Amino acid sequence: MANPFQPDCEMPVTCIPTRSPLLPSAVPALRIARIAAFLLFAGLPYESSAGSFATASATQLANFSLEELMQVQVYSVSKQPEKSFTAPSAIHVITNDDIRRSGVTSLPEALRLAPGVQVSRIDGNKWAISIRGFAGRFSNKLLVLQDGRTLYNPMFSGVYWNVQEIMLEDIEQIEVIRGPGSTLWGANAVNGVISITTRHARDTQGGVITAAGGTWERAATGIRYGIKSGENGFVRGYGTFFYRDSQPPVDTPDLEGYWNDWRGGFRGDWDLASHDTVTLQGDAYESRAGSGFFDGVNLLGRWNRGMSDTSDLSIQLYYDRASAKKRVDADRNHHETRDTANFELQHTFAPGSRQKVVWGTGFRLTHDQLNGNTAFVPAFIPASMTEHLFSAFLQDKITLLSDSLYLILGSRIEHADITGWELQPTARILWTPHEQHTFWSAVTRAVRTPSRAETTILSQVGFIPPVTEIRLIGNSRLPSEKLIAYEAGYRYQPLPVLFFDLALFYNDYRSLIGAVQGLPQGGAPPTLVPVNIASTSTAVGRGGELSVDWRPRAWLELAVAYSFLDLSVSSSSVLPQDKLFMNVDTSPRHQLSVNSVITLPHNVNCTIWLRYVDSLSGPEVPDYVTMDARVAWKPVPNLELSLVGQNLLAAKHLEFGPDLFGNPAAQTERSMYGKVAWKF
Amino acid sequence: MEILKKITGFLLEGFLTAALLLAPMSASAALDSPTRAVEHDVKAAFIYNFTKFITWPPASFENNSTPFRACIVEDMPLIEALESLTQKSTKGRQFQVIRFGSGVEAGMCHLLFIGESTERSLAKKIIASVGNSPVLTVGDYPAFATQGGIVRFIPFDGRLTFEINLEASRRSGLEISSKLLNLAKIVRGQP
Repeated sequence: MANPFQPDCEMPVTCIPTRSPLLPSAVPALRIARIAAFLLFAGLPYESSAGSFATASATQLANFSLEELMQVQVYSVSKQPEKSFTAPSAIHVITNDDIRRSGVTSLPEALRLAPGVQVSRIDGNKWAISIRGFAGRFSNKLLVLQDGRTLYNPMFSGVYWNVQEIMLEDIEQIEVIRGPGSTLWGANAVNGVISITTRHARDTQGGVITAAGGTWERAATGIRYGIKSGENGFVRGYGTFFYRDSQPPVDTPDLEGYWNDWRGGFRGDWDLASHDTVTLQGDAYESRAGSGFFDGVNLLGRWNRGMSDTSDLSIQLYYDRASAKKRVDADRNHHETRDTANFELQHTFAPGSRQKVVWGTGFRLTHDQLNGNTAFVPAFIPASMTEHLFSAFLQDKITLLSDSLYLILGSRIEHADITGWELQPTARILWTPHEQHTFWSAVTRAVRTPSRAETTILSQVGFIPPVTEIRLIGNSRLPSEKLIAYEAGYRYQPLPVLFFDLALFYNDYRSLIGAVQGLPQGGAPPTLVPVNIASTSTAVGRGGELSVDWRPRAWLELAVAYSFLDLSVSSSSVLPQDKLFMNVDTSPRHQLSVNSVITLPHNVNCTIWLRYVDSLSGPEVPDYVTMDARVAWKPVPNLELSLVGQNLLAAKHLEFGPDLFGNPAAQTERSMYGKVAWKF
Repeated sequence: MEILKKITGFLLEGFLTAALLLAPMSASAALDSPTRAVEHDVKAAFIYNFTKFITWPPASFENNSTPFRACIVEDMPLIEALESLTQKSTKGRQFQVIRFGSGVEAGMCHLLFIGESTERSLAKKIIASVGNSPVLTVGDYPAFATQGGIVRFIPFDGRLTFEINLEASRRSGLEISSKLLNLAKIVRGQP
């Protein structure tokens, strides 16, 4: 695979990561199954003697006093919220508790907790994160939001994961939707949506101080404090800092993986009247990741009025400024500043007893300023642009059979300056014949808007002496990438402690954007060979995800997730850049995760988390098995001490190839850290 | 640096092996750890306990042998948990659990639970049908108090707490003991 900006340079030689002595060579899938089986059964023989330790039944609890009842640790039987059992889409919710108990320290790593999400670490501060294929440092078919603010950057169509590190303690939940969410969420929600919600200020009263240190997580600290604001309001403020070690790329010692980050922010929630609530929140950050400098601020306000029990109106406004100064290679920089202002209105109401309608409208203005340190390489013409996005949607949930059969119809109409009007309809059917069973199926159309880079790049990417220049040329008339997705799912909860979730999909992609070689110009030898950005490909993705949540004992929770993906792309172009731009062959066929959380006596709990990820054929990454483990102890209710080991099964392993700019991938190393969290 | 990594690796393997082997065995030694319980069991115990701190007007019982009727809307796990308590009595009355549905009127219940799983519009209708009758409405979703419900469970830090809507309780004519009020978060809901 070649560097798009230097077609003649070779990818650094990859080396096969050494295997841990714990795991003699065998088929990895078998190995992980063996470990999983060991974990499962290691605990079981002891169970009868363990009995129902400190777990009380309703009859026992009835003899407790109210004060004692208020001290009982409550766990809910199904980890997934009630609503996700009857959702007509493939949805998984990662909770605050899931994040804490997994021991992850960064947002991208937390996403590994959801089934079907590919999280491949490129180096210490870059990830390729996607759902159902097309993963890259900029995975352009995955929409990501935090509290309704989009984190998807239109520059390269993707997320700068290194500037999204909010305080994990303040995350309420991360909703992960596999499959298109285009009707409700808009363009670029093609393969999935990740929606991060922070906690209501009411739920973060008082203080938290955390401090962690270890081999990768060199030093990390966070503080948050929440107070009441007036009679009916709450506010909190937080600040975090971390410094993470560089992970050297495959064969070159480099500081590209080095990462430090300062961040602060606040959130306030007020009940104005009995019907009105107002939220105001904002963050500011400054981050150095490898050779890149990043800073930004954002401010968001939301007003919600519950007009009646079936009618709800909300208006949200935000402003976001993000600046990135990155090194492209030894003598080229890319400097980008982007201002985004966004308005959204959403209204839910019920016309009659059998229908529930949600509609909304939104307007977004985004203005960018792009500068490189060399006039022509790479350059974007024009260097500054203002883009407008208008959208409106309507979705109706129609009850066909009371309490069991629903039809959901909806569409979004959207206008972007580059691509014009786009229609993104969906039709879904939801059937819950019994409270233990849910079936759903959907057909949806989704689009991905071409990025700023794809439409306006004009860059010299190579030079063949004596006179031939290779030039990458963007295309301002590119149509959107299109997807028609066919999905079906089934959920089954035979016991309160056992939950199965299966989703299957068939994705039909059109007009995928890649690159073709243009006509050489200027005789023989030619003086110019254009590489044109163009719609080159169609693709078909097939696959599914199966997850099982099981709580065999009060002290043991197991979550198993398996996903399968078969993605085939057919392109009219033979250029290597075509595949690189499109992120082809960058996703594993098989992924398996087995996560067990064990609650021990004396306020100790322990997590053991195994993952298998199949090989990648594009960037030539071998498959790997790895394991994280965490043990935590609460000596007093307000204090938690934890020790976490990550990627324990090998000294290091590779997860991905070079990014779009040719930055080589680094091996993910075994690491360990200790952490103290104190509430006051 | 290399030696540090080796030591780390060694410690980790030891730690993991120990964790794996010791975890299940030490589970039996749990005596002084806090009680853990499934959410609906805790709710059931709260509901049963609430009845001891609330006085219903005498007229809400036909006679001295009339059981105490706790009606539950839809939430099967909670119904099952409460049914395990029907051997018990509250203030000398048998504790009876009724699945709220057709044929059951809100006014027949002494206590009525409406949970998060109930469709909001239905929940609203049921609460409205209670009117000012002496029925203790209990719920667990955020809008419950503003809909006129009296007691709402609030999950907090892995535990369950509850709030009481004073306006709604006054309208119902129930007498809530100060002990219960002291433990609750008090809300002054809409009239």
